[in-house]
Amino acid sequence: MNRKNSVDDYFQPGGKEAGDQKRIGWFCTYVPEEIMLAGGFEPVRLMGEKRLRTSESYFPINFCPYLKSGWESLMGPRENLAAAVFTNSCDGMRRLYDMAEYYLQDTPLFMLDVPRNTYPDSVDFYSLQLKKMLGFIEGLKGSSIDEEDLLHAAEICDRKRSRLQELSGSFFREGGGIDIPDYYRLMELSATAGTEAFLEGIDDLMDNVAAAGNDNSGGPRVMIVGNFITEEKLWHMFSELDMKIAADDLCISSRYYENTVGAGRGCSRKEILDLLAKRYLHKPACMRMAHTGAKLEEIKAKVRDRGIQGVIFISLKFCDTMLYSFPLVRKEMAEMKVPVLYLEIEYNNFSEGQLKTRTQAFLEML
Amino acid sequence: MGVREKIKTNIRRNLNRDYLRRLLGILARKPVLYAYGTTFSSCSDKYLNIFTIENIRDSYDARKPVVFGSLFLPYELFHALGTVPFLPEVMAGFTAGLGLADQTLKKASSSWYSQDLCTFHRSASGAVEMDLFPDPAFIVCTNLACDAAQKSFYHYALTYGIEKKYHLLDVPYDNDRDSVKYLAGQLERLAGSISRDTGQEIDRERFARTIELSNQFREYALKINDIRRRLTLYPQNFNGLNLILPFHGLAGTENAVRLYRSIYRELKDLLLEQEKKGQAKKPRKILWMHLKPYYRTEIFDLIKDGGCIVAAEEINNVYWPRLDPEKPFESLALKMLSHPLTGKASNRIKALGEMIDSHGIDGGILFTHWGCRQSNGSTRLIKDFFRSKKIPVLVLDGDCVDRTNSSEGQIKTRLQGFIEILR
Repeated sequence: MNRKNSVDDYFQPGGKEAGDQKRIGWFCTYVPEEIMLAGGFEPVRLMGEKRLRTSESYFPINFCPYLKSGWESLMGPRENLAAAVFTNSCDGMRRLYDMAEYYLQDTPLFMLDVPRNTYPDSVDFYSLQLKKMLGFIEGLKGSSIDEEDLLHAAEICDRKRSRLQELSGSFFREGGGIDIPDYYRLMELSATAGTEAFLEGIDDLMDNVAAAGNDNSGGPRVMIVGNFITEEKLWHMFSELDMKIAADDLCISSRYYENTVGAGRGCSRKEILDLLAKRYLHKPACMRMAHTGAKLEEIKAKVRDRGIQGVIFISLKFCDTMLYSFPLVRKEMAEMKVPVLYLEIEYNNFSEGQLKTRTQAFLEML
Repeated sequence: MGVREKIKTNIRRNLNRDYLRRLLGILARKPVLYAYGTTFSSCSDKYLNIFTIENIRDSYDARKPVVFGSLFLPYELFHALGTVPFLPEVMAGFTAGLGLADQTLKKASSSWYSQDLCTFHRSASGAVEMDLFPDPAFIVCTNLACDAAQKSFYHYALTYGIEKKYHLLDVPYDNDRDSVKYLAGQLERLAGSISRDTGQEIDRERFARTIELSNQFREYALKINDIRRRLTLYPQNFNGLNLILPFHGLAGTENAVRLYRSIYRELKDLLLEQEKKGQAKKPRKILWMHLKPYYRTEIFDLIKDGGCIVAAEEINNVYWPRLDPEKPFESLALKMLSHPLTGKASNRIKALGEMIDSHGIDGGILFTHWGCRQSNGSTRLIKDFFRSKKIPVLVLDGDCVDRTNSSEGQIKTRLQGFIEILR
């Protein structure tokens, strides 16, 4: 990275307007940012407080660390946060919503019901849920949201996704002139920096990284499979080791930006909601979805197409859907003769020495 | 060594599917079964064991297609379709009771199931890997209550090579008209799929009869709960937490009706006896939340010796409305959506509140089974709720299946302290 000191420098929200815009917090990539944007709100993914002070006393010890961090941040100052949107994505997230509903009575909350199946009736059902979410946002806004608002928002979000796909394609193929920690920081920013600010900054950044050469290029070709992995120290650790991340399947990257909505002029509100429902239910799946077989095929296709030599499966602790998926991923990879390394981390807390030694040994084996 | 201990020892020594099938074939022969039944101390305990053995025998003898199902499915559907349900999570409880869980859990660990996962699912997964269960024709699960079944059951489907016979009933979060329609549609599609694959048309009359049997079982379950509001004398070894299989897996069968009728009659007689005798000191009433350890434990002896009774269990709450035989799919959808573990924790808390009030509960015990995220994640809310009602609650950390993951001494000390408070 050159010209500017860090990735963050490209995405500073500018002007008073950006600072004053009301934000809506969200946690899960199944929440359509389009609906919040269409209501004039800035969707911001809640990354959670990495330092826990009181949330431990609300949840059991063996509970998702990201959700505990999310709860810590919701209990803290929530300046400019007009509302928070949750999903019934997993047991942990449902319990987080319960906590918020009970203890945060001053903040409007919405629970979005996301089906686990992807059949046509599931898409229809999801579209109905999106309509309810639209009603919630209209309530916050105090006026209705028309198809023009929705189309505009869908177009902006698709643009963001396309830019991210372009950048990621380049990062995974050639290294993209951006190193591993910067790439994943960029992924975080794409969901937190503000949509307009991100779109303004990404072009500038891509012009610069294109000229910067390869930073994710050496070593064995590795695929990262994981959940909500935002551990800066981990990305630095990978960067120091001789490896090339040639594909990933993560909640903060490919599952966020792949697939577009593609709503065109003339679409009615219902048609746009149907398209949103389709896009979100058919994007690369989280392990919480029913069709684990389809998920395994997605992973296998990336392993095949990108010449992956080894898979690093990283899970935040106590994520059941990940933990149940690991034996299957391992079995499928064994059939493809691709070794798998299993790493488990807390949120902002892991034993770096041990993980580094294990990763090094894994890479040497490759 | 008694008969039951001998059976357990032989199972441990000859742990394989063929032995289990042979043993069940012998045990389930009428004379043997009724002789075995006489070893139980109460009528309800006898029928519970007999019907459980018959259900498991039916799943092993392969005369009808076997459906592996997760706990909270509406089993009426499978009985109506002429299939035999087999509940791996319940079987995991049996692995604990039979002293097999150390073997099944070990197998699960060596198959890469993390130790942080629920042992009901891990033990069942270990049993699948060890090929102890009968061959399923279908694998059906639901996300009702927790995430675990939909993932572990998919793994079973792959292991048995029947991935295309895997079905998830996707239960929506809210109980409203859209949700009933969506879920009823899934139930109807599932019924159609099973019926096509088994080559048997859906018999509407049989379906209506099954629904009617389910309603009869429900009526008896309601009457039992009503009696238990006043009852303080229980048959020896009665434990409502042992009724998981009939309450779920046998709903819609003659056997469930017979069992619940026999429990009702037994408890009714005891209530009459109690009213005749009068009682010097009323025991303190406990509401048990979540499940219990299914291996041998002193917990319930301590409760009894401490002058307390478990007057109600969360799992025996009759939460659903009467089913309509004219609208079987909608009714079963509504049954699932009415479950207090669907959706918000406040649904569960509301149901607990009703049980506390109707039974005159003096204290609550929440057993926080290791790895049960859906239940344990509500612990704080449940504690706050009990506090608001000025009723003491004890949170017992432990494991329902893996005795090595529970500290018996600590549980005992905490339980004794709690009983002291209640007295």
